Amino acid sequence: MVKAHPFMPGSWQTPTFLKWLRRTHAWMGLGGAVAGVLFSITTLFMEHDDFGLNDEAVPNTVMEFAVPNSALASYDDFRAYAREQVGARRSGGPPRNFTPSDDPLDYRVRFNSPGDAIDVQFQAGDEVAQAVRTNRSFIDTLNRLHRAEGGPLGWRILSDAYTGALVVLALTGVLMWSRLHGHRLLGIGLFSGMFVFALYFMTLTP
Amino acid sequence: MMSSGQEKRGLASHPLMPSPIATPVGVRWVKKTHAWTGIVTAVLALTFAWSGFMLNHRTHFTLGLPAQTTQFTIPAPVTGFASPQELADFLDAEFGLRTNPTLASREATTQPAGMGMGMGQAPASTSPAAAGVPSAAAGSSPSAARGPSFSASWQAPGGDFSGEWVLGSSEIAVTQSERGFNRIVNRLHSGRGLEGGGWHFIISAYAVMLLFLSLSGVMLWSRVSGPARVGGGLLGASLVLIGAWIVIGP
Repeated sequence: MVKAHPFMPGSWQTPTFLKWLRRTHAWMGLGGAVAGVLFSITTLFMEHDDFGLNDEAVPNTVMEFAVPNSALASYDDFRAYAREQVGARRSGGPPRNFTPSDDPLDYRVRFNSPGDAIDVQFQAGDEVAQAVRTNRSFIDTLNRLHRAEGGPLGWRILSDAYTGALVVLALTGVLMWSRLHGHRLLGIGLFSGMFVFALYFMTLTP
Repeated sequence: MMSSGQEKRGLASHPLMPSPIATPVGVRWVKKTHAWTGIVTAVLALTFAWSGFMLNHRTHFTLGLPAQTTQFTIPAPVTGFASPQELADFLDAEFGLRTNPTLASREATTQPAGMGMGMGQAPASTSPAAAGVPSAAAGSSPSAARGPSFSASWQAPGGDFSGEWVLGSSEIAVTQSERGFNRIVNRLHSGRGLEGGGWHFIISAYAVMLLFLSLSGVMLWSRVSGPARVGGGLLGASLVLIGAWIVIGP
């Protein structure tokens, strides 16, 4: 039997399975295309210092607001009050590696996002609470999305879907390789070449 | 201007292909290049997808054991070392190291107050033999005072290696660590500790190829895959969704 698809087991090469394979590859590919562009461009940004397009630092914005005693009853009260004052959309929480303390009073709330972040701080003896808004450039925001920093849960789930799709795309793509695309041996050569190359770095010890 | 018949045929089979490329020759070229790029990057796609999944959840869980670290000392040559480079060469010859070292020369650390050793002794004694005494203690308690030192460290995906020699000391303190597979691929993904190797070229090359695969893949959307309107809608929806996450504030 002449196999049109040299990397697919012969018994799988039915018109129905091929059609299913092509459709799965096409739908997952289209679904992940925007993510593919985002992740590849941000990879290049991060590897090459944003191509010098991102050298200007965006200054932070600082604001202060008074805190009534009712907002200091508990950390959650303070968080809700701070959220109202700074006009944050997300509910906020303690920054990483920080535990709020009631005695002595030390409250910090971070409202994070892939783009900007707002940090609110109030300590015992402070007259007013201080809110610092970290303003991030467009390129920084894209890079942060790539690294899932400050990313909402929905984005994490979507990135997971994208990694799953990428696995399926790689596997179905290899299966669909056909004689029309080029010589089988050259295909095997390129695939194994990259495999050996990756293996070299995976097994590289100091 | 190309003949309208050709252009129509190209557009009909691949509705999302821009019309200047949508000729039989253009479509075949995009198809072939997409296939070749795909097979070259298949291994990288699997590697980056798996490590990407792990890194996406790094704040919640880490798959794989932490790096296993061992510490020991080896005797230093009697002649000592004149520079960190000499120390690196010695360790290289001794352990057969494969990557390029990072060299450092550290100043003497000051002794914290309340330690048992004589206060006047450390600055006064400059002979190698005397300087060697605190270095032996330094192996067990890093906060203790010790003389200036040379260090050389090597980083690789599979593990790290470093050696430190206190000037005049008779031994070299060695720290060696080994990583498991999951931690190795995570490091490869982020490219940490892989300076100077060819890996950063691979990362960039893969990014360019992924960009091409994404764009050419959209162009190759065909009638067999589904209606153009639904395909284009899916594309637009994911663009809007990602755009929303970019513009929403904290």
